[in-house]
Amino acid sequence: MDEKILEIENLAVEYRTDDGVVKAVNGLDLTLEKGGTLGLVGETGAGKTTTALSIMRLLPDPQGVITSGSIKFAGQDILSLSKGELRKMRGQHISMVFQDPMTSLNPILTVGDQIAEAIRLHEKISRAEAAVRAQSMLERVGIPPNRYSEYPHQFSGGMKQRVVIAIALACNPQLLIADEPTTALDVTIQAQVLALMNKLKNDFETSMIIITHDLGVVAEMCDRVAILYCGEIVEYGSLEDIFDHPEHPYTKGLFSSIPDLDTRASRLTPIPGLAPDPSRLPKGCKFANRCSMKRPECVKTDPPVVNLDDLHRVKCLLAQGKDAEQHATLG
Amino acid sequence: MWSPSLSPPCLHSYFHAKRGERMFRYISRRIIMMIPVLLGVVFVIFTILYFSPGDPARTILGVTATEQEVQMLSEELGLNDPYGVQLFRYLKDLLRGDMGRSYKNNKSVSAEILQRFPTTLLLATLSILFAAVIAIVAGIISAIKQYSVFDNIVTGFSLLGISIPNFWLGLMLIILVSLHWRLLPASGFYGPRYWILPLITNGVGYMAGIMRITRSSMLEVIRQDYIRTARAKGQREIVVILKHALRNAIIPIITLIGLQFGRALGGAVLIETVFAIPGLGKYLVDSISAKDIPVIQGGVLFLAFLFGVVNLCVDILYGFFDPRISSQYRRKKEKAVKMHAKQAN
Amino acid sequence: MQSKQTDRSRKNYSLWLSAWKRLKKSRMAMFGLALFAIICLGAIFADVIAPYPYDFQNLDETFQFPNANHWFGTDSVGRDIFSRILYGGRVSLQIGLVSVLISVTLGGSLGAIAGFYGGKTDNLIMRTLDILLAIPAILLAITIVTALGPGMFNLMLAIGVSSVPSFARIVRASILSVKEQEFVEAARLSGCNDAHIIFSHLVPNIMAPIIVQITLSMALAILSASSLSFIGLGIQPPIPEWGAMLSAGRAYIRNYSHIVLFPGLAIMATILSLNLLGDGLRDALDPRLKN
Repeated sequence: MDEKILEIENLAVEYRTDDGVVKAVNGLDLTLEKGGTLGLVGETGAGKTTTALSIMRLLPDPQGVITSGSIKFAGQDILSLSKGELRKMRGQHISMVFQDPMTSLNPILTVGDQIAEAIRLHEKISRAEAAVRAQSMLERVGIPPNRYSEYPHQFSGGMKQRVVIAIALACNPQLLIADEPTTALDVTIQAQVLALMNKLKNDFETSMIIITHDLGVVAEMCDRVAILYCGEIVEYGSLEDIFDHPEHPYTKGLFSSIPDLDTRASRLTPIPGLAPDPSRLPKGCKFANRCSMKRPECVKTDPPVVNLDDLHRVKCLLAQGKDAEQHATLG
Repeated sequence: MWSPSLSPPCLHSYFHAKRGERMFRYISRRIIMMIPVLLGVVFVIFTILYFSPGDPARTILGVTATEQEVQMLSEELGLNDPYGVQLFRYLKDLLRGDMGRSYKNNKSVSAEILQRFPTTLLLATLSILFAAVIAIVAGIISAIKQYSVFDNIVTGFSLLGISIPNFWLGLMLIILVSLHWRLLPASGFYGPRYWILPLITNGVGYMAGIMRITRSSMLEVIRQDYIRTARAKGQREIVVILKHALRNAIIPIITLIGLQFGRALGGAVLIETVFAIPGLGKYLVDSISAKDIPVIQGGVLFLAFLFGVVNLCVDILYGFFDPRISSQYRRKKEKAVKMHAKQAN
Repeated sequence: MQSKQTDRSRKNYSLWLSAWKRLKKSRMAMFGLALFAIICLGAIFADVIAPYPYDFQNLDETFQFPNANHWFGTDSVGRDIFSRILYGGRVSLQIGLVSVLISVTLGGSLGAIAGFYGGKTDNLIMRTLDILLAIPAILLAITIVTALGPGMFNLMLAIGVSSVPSFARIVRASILSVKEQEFVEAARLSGCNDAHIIFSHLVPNIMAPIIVQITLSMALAILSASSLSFIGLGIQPPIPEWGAMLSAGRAYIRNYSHIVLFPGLAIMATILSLNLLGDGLRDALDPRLKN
């Protein structure tokens, strides 16, 4: 359980466009143990998808550039892999499920063929065998196997997402990255798809990263949580750490902005202000302009990462008294 | 647990049978839908030419003939019959393959057309093929390497290419290549050397259009999410481009190619005039000045028919490339809306 | 009601203004616009600019190459080619404008009716247009001109008819996409009749693709006109038309190629400018279509 399947250190990613440089990820540190499920939480634009794409090395070329940091998968440095090695990795060791099932499938190929294609890319088996394997994958995700030769437009959104999951898990990857897998689906379908993912995770023993802005999904699926803001991890810990003892003002703000079924309230409490423009990030704490507990130092210096205990760490000046012995450098 | 639905050897044939069945239904429906359109074309062309000025009998007999002779011939040819009767008669004859006789030399129009059209068809087909192959490849490369030097050249060439009148380009090429450099013949159609200039002349215009649409269609498709999914599976880039991107981008491209073919068939009148090629186009042009109505009628109808066949082939290709189109034929109205909306763009 | 009108016109005005700003950014489009403007000016002020009348024959000065007296040289009967090109521009532009006008009116109405009423009407209209589309455009034009006889107006009519289906389709597609939107429901609920709905609500929204198509159809019309004149069906001499000039000059290309060079360049310049302009307008009026 202590073996780390993914280690990201000080990752920095920018997008270079005609309108300027956007710093999407700034000094991100993340780890995932084998078999664990990490929830990567953040609002739109925080850098979630960029992080995921960086792991897969699928950033748009030439705009997306990894400017510094390292990403190690099962001990191997991903950033130094050749194109051929990357292709072997994708689909076979690391897979990704993207956000919008309506557009993630090729409309002119049958769903079965799309699954079989993934299998044949990494295993030397015949077309017929791959088709049989694909059929069994369809069944595992809850789709009747005789729908192999149907086209994506003949499926509903939820079923399309199941097909996408089938493609991602067809070669039994060690790591599955799911980028907002249920955001585009109805709530009832959401529950089904999440249950399916959980079951498959247990069957296949896959490590997962679930990217979401929905804390409910995190609660249901994850054992570790990382809170992402402006391209940095501002808080990280186990599920209990984050849900029961949140430390970072942003995390606390997220929880308090969720409407509560039990309490009667006339207004919601959102986090005031807006996230800073990623092409012009402030020098000090990036959350400072929205923080209710801000101190003068917060605007001037970038807060250090403070280890609150074994797992739980937070990037905030206010947490500085609360750590145990160590000062943090990187997690 | 999992019960095997089909064993591996049967799977393939089962899937292919399903697909074959769908395509057969689709193709037969397309052919059936073509028939009223062709009938409509005959009706339209016949009706327009029915109102041509001049007396056909007089044209045949010439200025020296007497009124009496002209009247007799008119009766004989049925030219005094009401419009409906004449139309019906023409249709009936048409179904038997008879397009009447030329006013000028009384030869069977059908025979003349059948003798000449292979040249025209050959020239049109070769031009389009030549243009399409180069254009699609150039368009794909242009889209992959957007904003590169190659892309800029392609874009520039396309813009110029669609603006050059092909008959003028032919003349310019003749001046340069045939007359100044003496490399290639300027007229006639006696062998492969004679085809080069007409092919290039035709090809440039069509190439330009196909390049543009290939480029824009590919650019649009490459941005799609499913391309990213394909890469995320670990697929090789060239397969992503050809199997995933191009197959999705190809629909508007082959739509345009079909339309270009129609323009090639019509444009034969121009090219064959410039290069003195003895095809159906030149035959048409010669009969225009002579007001030889049966020839004009027959020629236009025949070319429209060829165009119809080409469009049928394009539709069949649609069915192969995009299963959504062939399976939509059950809901006819919905399909009509979608197809027209797509083509209007 | 009054304020609604002014609100709407203000919104439309700023719509056009922002489109114009976008258009200005494209160098190609601006070049096309400038080139087309030059051609138009040349055509409009031909009487003033042209050094000679277009039909002035001077048998002492035949077949001259470009020189100081005759910037583009002279043709087989000594007419000044430059002047003929200018007057030819007038002819081409007239043909372009009128035939497109015919296409827009006929095609637009058909498309609007088809799109708005849908159902059987739609089906009938579109099937009829399919018949027209089954005939290669130039052949349809040849048929019509043969039936009507040569001459400028017949040419305009013939070319106009061939473009009817494109406009019909575009208008119909726009109306279909707009029809479903809610403001049509709102207008209907407040009691507007069908014609009012079509003209005041739907038309402003479909102007963009129509304007683009107008530009492109004009280019096509001018090309068709020269093509038809080239094979002898269009404008009759001595009225100068670029295609006819090409046809006449064909016999002399061996020794006097300049006679066919300039009319062709004129055709190409006109079509190129309109195409550039059309592309630019397409990008400017609907930036979503841009890459």
